[in-house]
Amino acid sequence: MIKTILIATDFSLESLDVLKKVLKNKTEQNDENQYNILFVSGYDMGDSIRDLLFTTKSTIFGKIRSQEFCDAYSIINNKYPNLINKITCDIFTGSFQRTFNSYIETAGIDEAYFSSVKSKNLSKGQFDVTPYLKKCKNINAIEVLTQTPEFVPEKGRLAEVFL
Amino acid sequence: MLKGNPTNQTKTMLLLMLVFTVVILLFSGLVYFSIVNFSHQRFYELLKIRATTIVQIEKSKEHLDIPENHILNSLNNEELPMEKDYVFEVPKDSNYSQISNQIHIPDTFFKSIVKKGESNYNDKEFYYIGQSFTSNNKTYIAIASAQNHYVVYYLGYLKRTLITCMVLALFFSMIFSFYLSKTLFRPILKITGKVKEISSENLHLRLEPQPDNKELNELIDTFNDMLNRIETSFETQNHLIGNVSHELRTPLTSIMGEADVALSIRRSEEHYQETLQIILNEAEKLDKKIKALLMIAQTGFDGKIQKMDKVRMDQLLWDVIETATRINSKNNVFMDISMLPENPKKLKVQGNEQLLHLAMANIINNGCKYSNFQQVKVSLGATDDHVYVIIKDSGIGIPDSEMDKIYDPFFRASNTKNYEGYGIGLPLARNIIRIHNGELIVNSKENVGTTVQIRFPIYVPTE
Repeated sequence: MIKTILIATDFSLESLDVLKKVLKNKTEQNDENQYNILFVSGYDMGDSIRDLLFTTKSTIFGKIRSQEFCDAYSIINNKYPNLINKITCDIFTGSFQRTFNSYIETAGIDEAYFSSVKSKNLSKGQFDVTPYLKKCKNINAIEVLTQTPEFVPEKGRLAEVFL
Repeated sequence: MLKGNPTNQTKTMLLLMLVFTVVILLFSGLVYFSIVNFSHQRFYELLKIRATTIVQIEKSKEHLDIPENHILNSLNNEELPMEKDYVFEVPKDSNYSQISNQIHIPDTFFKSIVKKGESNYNDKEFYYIGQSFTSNNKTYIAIASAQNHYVVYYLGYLKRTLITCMVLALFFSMIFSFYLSKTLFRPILKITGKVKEISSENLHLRLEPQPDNKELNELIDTFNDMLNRIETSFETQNHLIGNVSHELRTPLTSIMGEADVALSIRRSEEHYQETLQIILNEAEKLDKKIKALLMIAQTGFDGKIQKMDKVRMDQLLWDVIETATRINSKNNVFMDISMLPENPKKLKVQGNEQLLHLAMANIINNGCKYSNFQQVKVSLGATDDHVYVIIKDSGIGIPDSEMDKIYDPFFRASNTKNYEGYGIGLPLARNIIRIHNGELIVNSKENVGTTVQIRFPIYVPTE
């Protein structure tokens, strides 16, 4: 059976920690389901009509998501091929709780996770969806304990995911 | 007129002019012929109305009695310029030569009128349209003809106007293309002049960016980048020669010193033996250094690629770690397999095992050595098209200011005084990784640690 997991992220390598922990847990529980992983970050499209017309999802990802992030989740994907069906990234562009609720509904989310650490490296226009996730009544979002990593030399490099 | 390198400039100018000329010719031709065509059609329409009127008039007559070979003409007053109208009966023997002679129209025209019921014809001045009709069982032909004043007078004027315009346009296009080609090429000529000034003595010179010229600025940036790289490699080479000669001289000096001291007075046999032992040790060091140098030279970019095989990265790393622990039991290397992909195919790399072993061993041993035998973590992971090896130590690190020199052979960072080494390992490892189309990234912070991230393209079996 394929289930969908939503993970609130800011597309930084640290936020992949949540996914690692969740998948580790699932492996320990001998979970036999397959999961679609959906990384979601908030993004404020702004009011400019030109931006609204001509901005596509890929241009936004180009701004807020690094190649390292994609490589890193690809590494995790290769580590747990039995658990993961596919990994996708998405942005939530609304600003109301109701919009978020219906987003959760349309995406068919079965489980949702967010990091206990508040994200520090949000790009311009990006916002955290964790508050929406906490307030959303349709789904029971689970907080994953992650520690703020102390300074590491490989900041921003793919190597971070191996910590 | 054109100084410097005129060929391309002239070429551009001529090309531009050619394009202009072709476009202008095309347009003028189109305008001219469409107007000619239009006036012909229009005039024929007018003539046709006339011919129909004549036919109507003649038909309405009770007794249309025209003798054979007689031409009834000037039926109406001139409605069209120089209008002439003719009506005659079709000869019984279809011999139009007499009529044809009278009104100077070829008899093929008459034949085609009889055949089709209506036909038109024009010579230089006159336009003719003819219709056949029957009245009292006799076939008649009515022809209306007139001079097309428009074609005769106005088209000539149009032709003159168009030619004048063409000449003027060509003249302006010449001036325009000349200036355009000049302004296009001026900055390039400027750059050429500037580049000519730069030689090995003044490599620090850079090209200045041109205001408001994006494409050219890109060229200039590329050029400046290239100059930067050339300058760095020049510097590296200069450093290399200095470093190498220094490194090679150190053992040589001690060999010479020892020999000199031993030879100065007669010594005991033990003393000679001791001296010879020192000389041997120093010579061995020298040999090691020269071997390492040779290795760097061989693994450098010379296109000579050693035998390439499939190598499984995890096996290779286990091997390297085992060797490292065997050589020095204090080496503490931890293999982190938390990110190891389940599919072993994703760990295969196309490469030479010995060389890769050498590179990995060098980096792992460096990690052990410069972290005073604290734990070194080796992690392995794979995306769909790359294998990643991360080697992380918490050692002395590399000072920020020296990061750009770490790949210079024989360069040793300022905080490595207490550690033995030649400064060969990292450049050698990088050369090897480059041979394998890989990438080596070193991130370090002084007194915190160093993380080396190595990436290899995954082995793709060729069908």
